[in-house]
Amino acid sequence: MLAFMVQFSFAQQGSVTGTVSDENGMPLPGATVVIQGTTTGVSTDFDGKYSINATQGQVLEFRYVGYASKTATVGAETVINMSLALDNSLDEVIVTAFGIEREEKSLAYSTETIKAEELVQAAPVNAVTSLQGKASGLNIITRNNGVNPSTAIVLRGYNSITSSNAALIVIDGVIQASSALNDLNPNDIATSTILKGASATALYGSDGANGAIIIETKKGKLGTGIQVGFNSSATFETVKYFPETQDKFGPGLDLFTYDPLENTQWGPRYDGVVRRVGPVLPDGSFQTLPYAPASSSENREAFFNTGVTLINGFDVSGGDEKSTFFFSARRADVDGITPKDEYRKDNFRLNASRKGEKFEVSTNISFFEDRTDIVSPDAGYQTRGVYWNVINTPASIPLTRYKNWRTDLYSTKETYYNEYYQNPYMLIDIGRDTQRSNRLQANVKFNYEINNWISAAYSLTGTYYNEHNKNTQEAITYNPITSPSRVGSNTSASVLEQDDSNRRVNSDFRILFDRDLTTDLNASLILGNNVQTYRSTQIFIFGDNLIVPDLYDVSVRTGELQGGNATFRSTKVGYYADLTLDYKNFAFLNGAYRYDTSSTLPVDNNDYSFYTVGGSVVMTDAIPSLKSDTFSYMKLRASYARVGNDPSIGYINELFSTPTGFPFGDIPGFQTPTRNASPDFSPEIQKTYELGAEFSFLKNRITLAGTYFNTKTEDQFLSAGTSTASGVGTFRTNSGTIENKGFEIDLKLTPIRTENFSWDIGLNLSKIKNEVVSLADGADRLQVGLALDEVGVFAQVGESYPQIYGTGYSRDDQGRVIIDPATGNPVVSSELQNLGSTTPDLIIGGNTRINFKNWSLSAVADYKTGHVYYNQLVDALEFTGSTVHSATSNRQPFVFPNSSYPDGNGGYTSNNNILTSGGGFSFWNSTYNAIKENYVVDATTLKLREVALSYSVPARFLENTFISSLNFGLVGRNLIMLRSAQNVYTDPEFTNDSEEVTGFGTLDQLPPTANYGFKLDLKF
Amino acid sequence: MNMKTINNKYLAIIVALVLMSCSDDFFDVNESENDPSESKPELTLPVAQKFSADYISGGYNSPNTLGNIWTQAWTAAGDYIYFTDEMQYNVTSGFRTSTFQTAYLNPLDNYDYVEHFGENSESGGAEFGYYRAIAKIMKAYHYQYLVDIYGDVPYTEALQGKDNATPAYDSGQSIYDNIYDQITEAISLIQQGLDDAGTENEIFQEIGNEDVMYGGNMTMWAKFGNSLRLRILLRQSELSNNLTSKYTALDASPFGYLGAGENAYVNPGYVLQAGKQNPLWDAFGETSAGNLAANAEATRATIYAIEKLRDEFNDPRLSRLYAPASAPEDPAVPFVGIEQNDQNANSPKSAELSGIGPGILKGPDQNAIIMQSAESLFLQAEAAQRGFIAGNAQALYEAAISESFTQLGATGASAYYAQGINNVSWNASSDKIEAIITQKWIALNGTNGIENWIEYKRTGFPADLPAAPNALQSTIPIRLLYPSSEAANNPGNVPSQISADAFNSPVFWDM
Repeated sequence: MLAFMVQFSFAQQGSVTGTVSDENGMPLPGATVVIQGTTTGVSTDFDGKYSINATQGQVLEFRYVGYASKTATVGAETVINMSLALDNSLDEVIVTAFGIEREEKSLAYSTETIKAEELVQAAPVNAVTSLQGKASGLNIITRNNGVNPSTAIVLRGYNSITSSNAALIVIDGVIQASSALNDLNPNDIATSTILKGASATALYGSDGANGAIIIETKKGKLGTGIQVGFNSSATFETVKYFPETQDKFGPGLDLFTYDPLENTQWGPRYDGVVRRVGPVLPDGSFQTLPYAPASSSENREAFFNTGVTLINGFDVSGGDEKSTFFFSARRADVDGITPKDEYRKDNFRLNASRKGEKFEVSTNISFFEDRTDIVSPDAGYQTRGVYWNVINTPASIPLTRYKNWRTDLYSTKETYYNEYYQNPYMLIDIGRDTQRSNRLQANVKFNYEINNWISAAYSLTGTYYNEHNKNTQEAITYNPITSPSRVGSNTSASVLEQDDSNRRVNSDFRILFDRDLTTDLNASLILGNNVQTYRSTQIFIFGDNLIVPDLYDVSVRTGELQGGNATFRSTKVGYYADLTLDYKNFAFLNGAYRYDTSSTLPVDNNDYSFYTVGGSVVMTDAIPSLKSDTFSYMKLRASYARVGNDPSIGYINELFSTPTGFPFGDIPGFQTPTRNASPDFSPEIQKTYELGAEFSFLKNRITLAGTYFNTKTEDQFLSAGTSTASGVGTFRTNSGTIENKGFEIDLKLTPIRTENFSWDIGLNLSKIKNEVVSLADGADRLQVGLALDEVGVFAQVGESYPQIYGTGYSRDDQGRVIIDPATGNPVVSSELQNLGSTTPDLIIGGNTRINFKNWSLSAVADYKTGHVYYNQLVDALEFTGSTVHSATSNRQPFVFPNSSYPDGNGGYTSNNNILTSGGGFSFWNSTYNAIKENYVVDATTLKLREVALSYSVPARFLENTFISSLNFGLVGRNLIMLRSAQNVYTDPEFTNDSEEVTGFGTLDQLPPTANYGFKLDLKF
Repeated sequence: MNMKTINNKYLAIIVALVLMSCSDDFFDVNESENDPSESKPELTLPVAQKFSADYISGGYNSPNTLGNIWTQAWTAAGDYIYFTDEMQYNVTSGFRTSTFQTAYLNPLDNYDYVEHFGENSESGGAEFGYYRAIAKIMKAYHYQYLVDIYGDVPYTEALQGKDNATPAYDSGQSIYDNIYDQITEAISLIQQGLDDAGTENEIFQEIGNEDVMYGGNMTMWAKFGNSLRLRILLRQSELSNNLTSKYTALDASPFGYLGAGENAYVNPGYVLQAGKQNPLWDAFGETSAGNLAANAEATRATIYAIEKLRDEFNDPRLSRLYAPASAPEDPAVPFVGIEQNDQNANSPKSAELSGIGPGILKGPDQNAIIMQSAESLFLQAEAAQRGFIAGNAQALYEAAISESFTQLGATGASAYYAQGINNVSWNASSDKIEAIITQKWIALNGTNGIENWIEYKRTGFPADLPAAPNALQSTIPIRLLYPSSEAANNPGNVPSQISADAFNSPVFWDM
């Protein structure tokens, strides 16, 4: 605080005037002139004239919409006239691999840069979710919701069956774990650049095979004094799309027979009559309730709270002539929709630099810590989670009345209405998962200009990450006298503590040569070395039968203590060279080569190489006559890359392991390896080419970029079939190919641009065709994700990847469902049927921003289609009779719609009169439920991801305050989701957390929610 | 600090890193620090033995469970959709695939490692003679069951890992001949070790409690080997091949067979703890948390078994093999069974039926049964009765019944077999072989169901054993089909099969 007070008090003021004009000398009215590093700014008048108080040595920045900004340092003169040129936005500088900045026009591949303000416009807790819809080729998957949702970033489709498909995350030039982007403070991000394909990331070696997200964090600016900013937001989360369930029939397992102890809903139709609910208490009394759906303030949906997220951050930045710094701190506090679920995230960062004449040193230090405290996902009987217990509650049960489960007469573990499953309010108290994680990243970079065309750079980065999990389970012991049937779900108290740490060290050394070979030809060459080492350790202990209530200490247990430990290490060293030739600044040719040695490959066969070649031509510069007021810019580009991917740590090891149960007392044991690996194991090879063109029209009011890409990933890490009689079940080898091809279009429009009003629209489209060309020898289907007996996620030769296979209907040639005329029931297909692809083949993102005077309105939406998903939730609802469809026939036998049966002559007769075998539990839970096609639905969604309305307080109101800018607004996230008519249950993006492939929703996700709230940004 | 010194230091760091990256050791970090790439016989033998117990008498998928259903010992409660494919005789290439797969992956692969340990060392593994003997005997034990269940299976080319991912199939007869010889060789090794013990020739490493069957008592291993050899020979009783010389040589073995009190049990130290309970108890008794195990309430007695024991044989073991129903329809009739494939709305519910009894489910620390002494005695009784070996068939038969009573915790064996009931008392039995096999069916009920099914295939006893009503086929299956994984991964070698093979394509000894 003192610092900027000083700045204000002692600034010597003087006056500078001038005129701002365009290239042709026409005055630009309404242009902005600001003193860099301060909040002082003025606008030009109708004649383009301005007047500002500035001191000698200060830097004036001249801005006008659509024109490139320029700066001028105030000298002795008092008049500074400035001419601004049309902003060729395609001339921008892009941060590419290893933080190397390049002019966009020199790039032979497609990139996308997302600006800081676009990332934080809707006040996100984490940065990944705010990339949604903002670039083509990008598929962000939010796997679940809850207080700390997990996300995945997939660029240009799935390339690999067993290896990760996640995009590489690079922060300030350093490779990081995927989770590091989740953990980052979004307000710290200066730019995020998306390098979509291997051509762009070949310099990263195998890490970059799936594209990369390059994050640069904010830095202070030279010569700007000190700036302070605050940002703050409060958002609220509510359940938006609770699954549709039936509210006609109430508790009972036997059809139309009321059972006061059941949560299954095959009982009689609700009739409003007051009935007993739950067990008869020892004194003979019992709870009674009207037999009718409970009110919306008490029913199962009311179980969920309104979540609250509070974010407060501040930053201090600045610099003098040689040094800069940026410091930020931020806390996000999240209360979830599930009672008691909490999340807290803290971030700190210090970026600083100092520049000498030839030598520059900079450092980034960041610290992150979060704490997640949620109900254990498997706290309930039969490891059923809370959501499962809530969603299967009959409509008639006023669930929120059972909150006080320790004291309330009808809510205790013995007296809760449900004989079979537990009170969800009890579950959220007895089983807790607490996770604390933190990450410390520190790096130092040196840069030395050896002469005017050679420079050298070295950076060393250490990252330490620690994650501590503690799961506690309170003992549940039922009274055996009053509740003999419940004692089967007695649970002992237990505690699991697990500590995972890892550290990675990255060393990068680079020499850059940049020289004009002739007046027309410039060459730049980069030679580099990259060393990465990684070590991770895991330790856990578990104790159950803890005998002191509320004391989760393993020493107060009975029985054996369980525990384990593991260490994993990897090392990778790469050498690379990258040459770019620049002919007259309009034609560019680039070639890069990298040679890697990786510890995860067999020691005597552990090196492999990568290369990429590409070129680009700016046609409008090569042939200036092409250029006109209408047609501003045209660039053509092409590139080819061949990169390798190494296996994960220990993937090729053949290890003896300790089987379940061992050691028994003093008898340890090691079993023989259950998998073998080929001695010739080699890297997975990806070959990709892309062709692109970029255009801009009407002085960049319209820009259009299009890219076609084709990626073939060969020699995948697959398990070849072995006879189990060989004694090993898995044989890891290289085989199988996946091909991804598609195109991406990015369109940016500025339909309106005046001083007070501007409207920008961005549209992006990605169309992907993906095919499994081959798998291991002889195999044509491979399970890749979760799979049950009757439905699962597979890779299938000739189909896109991944694909859901499951039991389906048998259909006749007219598409009618074949029934068994003896039972009236549909016949289940004998083989698993292809039920569709789980990855969208078309993604369209749209974003828009309207600025009107001090108001700004922005919105982001995306549309994904061409995929399906399977929802285990509905499968589970079938058992309890909660599904809407199970009540459509009023629980009576019915003629199965659009069905037929064999006529005995090879044809089929339309079925108009044969009724199904039943309309209750046995039909819906057995016959209908056996056909998993029923639960695989079109996953098409249109989501309004973000809406933000903000207002900047005009500078004139702030003139006499210490505030330099004040901006506040309303934000909304996920306000609208339009789904296919079949999907009345959840967000099809939700998927099993532990699998990389999508399309298999489980019971671990909560209902989809919407967030809305307000935010405030303040700068001094 | 001037620029030059910084520069030199900075170059030094780089040079160091580059040099480091040139060393091969630098990359040699993929080795696991937790799991080794090799083991020792004393570490892998107990694992193999635990796997044997898990495999043969473990949970739902164990051969024991299958045999108990196919020989009418167990069935599913009327209110449980359970054991459906088993009771429907719905034998396909997807049915109980683990019976084939797990045998190779778990016990056999580990015994094979123990058997061949040290072969490439200087000594050629000579010091591991006892381990080799145990491994050979236990491999024979598993291979016999594979042949009895499937017929031809991979043998000579099996268990070679990546060196042979597609092993050829050997004929059942040749496997039988070879495993017999392997046991013979194992017993010679034991003989040699015992002879050399205490002399200067002693080279075999002693085995201690890491042998979780016999604690290193090699004499017991030789007896167990002989009982297995007898089982292998007797299994071929319906063949015309002349095994007289083998019987003679076997009967001349100084070790003899497993006798009274000499059971083959595995017990590594089963205890009330998750993952460490006896596998049968864990699957059908209680979980380590004290709740009923997954299969406990679904698995119930058959009418056939209850009536046979209670009404026909007046067998005191009834209340040891089966538990009284918790809520019988008629409290005066506590032991209640149900037909197989009786899962209808009005079918008797689990609580109205008898479950598995306390003689089978004793507790989390109970021994896992590999071969009961009773079975060895029944084998001897049969061989003596058939004149293949010396011995008093009746005495052996009655000793076997007594051993079964002991095993199950029942009393009154001699009074029991004194009852003048056919297939109970020796003298009252019209067909002595039928009496032996029928009594063996009772003795192995619940603990070695697969042996009962195999012996039923061989002898047709118990003679009135019914097939499950309302099954897809009217006769009890005589084979399992090779798993679909073999068709997928070893198509050049797996014999072609059709689903009818499960009913009419017998294994080689099943004439």
